[in-house]
Amino acid sequence: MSQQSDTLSTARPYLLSAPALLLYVGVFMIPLIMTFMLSFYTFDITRGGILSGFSLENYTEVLSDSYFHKIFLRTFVLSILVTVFCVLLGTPEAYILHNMSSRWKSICMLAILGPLLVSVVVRTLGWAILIGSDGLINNTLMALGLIDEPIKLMFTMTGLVIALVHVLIPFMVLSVWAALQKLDPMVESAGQSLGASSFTVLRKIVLPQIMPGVLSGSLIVFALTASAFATPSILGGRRLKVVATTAYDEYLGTLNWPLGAAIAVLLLLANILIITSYNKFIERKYAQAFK
Amino acid sequence: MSFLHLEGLTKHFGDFVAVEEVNLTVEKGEFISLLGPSGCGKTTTLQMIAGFVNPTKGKIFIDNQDITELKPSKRNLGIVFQSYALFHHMTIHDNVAFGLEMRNINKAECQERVIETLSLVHLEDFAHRFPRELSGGQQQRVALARALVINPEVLLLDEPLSALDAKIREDMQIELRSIQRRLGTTTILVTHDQSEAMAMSDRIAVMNNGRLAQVDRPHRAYEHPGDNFVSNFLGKSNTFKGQVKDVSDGTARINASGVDFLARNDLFEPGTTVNVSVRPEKIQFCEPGKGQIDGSISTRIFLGNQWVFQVDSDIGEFVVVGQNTGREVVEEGHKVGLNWSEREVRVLPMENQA
Amino acid sequence: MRKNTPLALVFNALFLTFMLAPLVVICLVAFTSKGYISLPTDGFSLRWFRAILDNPHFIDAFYLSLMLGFASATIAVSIAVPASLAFARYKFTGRAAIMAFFLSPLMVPHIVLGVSFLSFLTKIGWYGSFMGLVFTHVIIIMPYALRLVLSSITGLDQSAESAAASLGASNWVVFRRVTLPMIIPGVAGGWVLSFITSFDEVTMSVFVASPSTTTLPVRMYEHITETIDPLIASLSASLIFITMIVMLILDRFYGLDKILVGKGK
Repeated sequence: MSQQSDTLSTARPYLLSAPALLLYVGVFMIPLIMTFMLSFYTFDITRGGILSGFSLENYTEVLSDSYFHKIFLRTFVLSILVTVFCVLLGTPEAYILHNMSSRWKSICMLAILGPLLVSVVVRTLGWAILIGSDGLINNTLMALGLIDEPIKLMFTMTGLVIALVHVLIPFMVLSVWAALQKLDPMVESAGQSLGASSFTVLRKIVLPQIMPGVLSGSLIVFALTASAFATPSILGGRRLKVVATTAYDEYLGTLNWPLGAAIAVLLLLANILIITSYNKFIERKYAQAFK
Repeated sequence: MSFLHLEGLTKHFGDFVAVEEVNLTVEKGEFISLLGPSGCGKTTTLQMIAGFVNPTKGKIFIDNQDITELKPSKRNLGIVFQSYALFHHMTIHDNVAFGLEMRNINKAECQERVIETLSLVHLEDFAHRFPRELSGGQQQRVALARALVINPEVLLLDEPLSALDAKIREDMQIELRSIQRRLGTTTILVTHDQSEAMAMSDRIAVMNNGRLAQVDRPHRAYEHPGDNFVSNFLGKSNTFKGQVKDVSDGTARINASGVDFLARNDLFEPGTTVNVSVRPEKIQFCEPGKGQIDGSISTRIFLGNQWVFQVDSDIGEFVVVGQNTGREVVEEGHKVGLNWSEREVRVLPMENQA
Repeated sequence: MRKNTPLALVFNALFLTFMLAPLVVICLVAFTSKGYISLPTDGFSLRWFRAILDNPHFIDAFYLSLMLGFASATIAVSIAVPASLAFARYKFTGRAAIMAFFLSPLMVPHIVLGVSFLSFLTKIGWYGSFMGLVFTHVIIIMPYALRLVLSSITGLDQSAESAAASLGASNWVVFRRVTLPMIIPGVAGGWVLSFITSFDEVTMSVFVASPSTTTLPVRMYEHITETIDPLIASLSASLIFITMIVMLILDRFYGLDKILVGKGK
């Protein structure tokens, strides 16, 4: 109902959003533009650090140096792996939750979503304690005589994937769970009454309907992995640098802000590109069925 | 003199014509219903009276005062919304007292009037409860009390009963009507339910496509619908297209697909194409050949107090309704004659729309 | 609703173990009496919890994070309410664009925000100031606050406001007496989610926190990159306990999934 719209002045909505708008322009847009401009500056330690001007030097360096290629590729592979595991584990878990009695459901929900409220630093610490070379997993396995020497997990891709899946999988469960809640509880019974087996119902009726939830969940997980910082920094260290930790090192380590800014801009552009093209893809695919 | 007066009231939303040239006068103390299908403009009309929607054109007068430009908060109208629109964070007492508080009425009088109005709707024991603790019917009565406590010039009811169960709805209709009679508050009810409108109102104003189709007492509107739309919206009708053959002594002979209908009507020239209609309950069965037309029963439905028959005839299907008197009735497949009095045949002008 | 097969229940048990293992391990290790990371095999000791109190670095950072969360959540919510009213109640030119703009910080990686805020605050001379930190946090939490407040306003039955107006209430009285009390649950939910998001934020804050304005997660991050000792475990365990209490309260009043759905995307 837009009943009040014609009784009130047209300026009011702008006035109401003005405080937020001012803040966004001042503290959000301007800093981003500054970083964008900074990425075209140059850095020369012998001539006093950062020199303003316009140069594509930083971009050519990042785009041509195999050192950076490796870092970008590693970040991409990491994001794909984490997303795939989140889909494979998170989707069935959401469906199992969906089928639970409401009491058990809320208890399990607390266990799965609760970690989201704990700082990612704390959650990563937990994994560092578990997977360190004299960590609990290795100590236990060795004490039990199952292995002779520690399995290497700390500072490896495997360890990083495990920890990031743990950090991000709640988003996946949440997203699929939201899609499952929109599902008419009778459609599964309807499918079975028409002679479909449980597995067929799952594959042909449930899965297609929760696909948008799976897809939007994977987008969140992918984007957040690609820009994750604390977990790769603690568990990957210098040996497994990703884009975010590289930008950090350029800024706070070598103090080459322009190069760090160029890396940040590339990360941002990749992020926006992936999100918008993914959304377009989902929209095109599901426009008819879910509008 | 008329108390509430709508003069050429019109509302356009862009190209869409919601309400067009509505002229209506309501007497003091009268109960009038705006009746029509969804999208006919009845709710927009009510919202213009309430002040939530600005008219594109036209004026609204209450007691000879032009209130068209007045803010909703200055109109002193009582409104009951379809969703009840109770303040869920306030007790029943505070809900009802809200309007009095806005009028800076002193505590003692406020208290007295709230109790008085709550007892009018039989909720005096619920004053300190919260809306969520009440049933739908009770919440509805709180909304009514909240609207009445300010002694509104006009009470506006926007489909107030549509969210209630059928049984409670009927009880509320009777209760609402008797409260309105007792207080003598001029009332406008918006509804799409024709039986509700007919049961409660002094007059009904049938709306269609943003215009007033007919304003009349319920019985009169039912028996003498002004056009095809009203005839079909108020109850059911058997309507056939025909042509006026001749008119004599105030009786017209109308030919519909070869069958002659006689009707008490001399408003139409011979040769005019018209609609003729007969209400289902005005048709009796008789021996085949002895009525106006013959047909065979295709379907028969029992509704408890009455029977509904579908009868196939040469000119189309008739619906016939008969009271359940306890005796056996004709069975499906049987041939019957259909008989009606010429006094029950209505002749209506052809319209462009169906 | 159908029943889960035994296989599904085993999967669920493993999943929950996976989710809780790192947190449980922290809580166990925190009670060790030894000077290094180990399970408390010879009885529970509170030694490392007492050690937190002797460490002003962490205590100061904890207070700073509390104040930061409080200030930024309050500012975010108080500008999100009028903005949400504008979005929920008016059709105006640029509505969709402004809305997308307000949600856009979600699309920007925190590391990018971090480097941008660092240059910005240094440039205007606010680096190391508390207010500078607050503003950057407001930007990060605004989308969350806006979503929860907006959904509570759009879910509101507007006819209650019309009813109040028809009973003689002015616009301001309608807002204060009817609209605001009815959206308070949504606003409070938005505030809590904003507070938690601000309190937990580390990636962006690593850049803008100066030695005098270091938040707790940043302090902990810096500590962990140097050494992992029982002290950091006991501190983390304390945070887990506090979070658990907050979480149980939240779940009781709102349902955790309803609040956190706002966190996705």
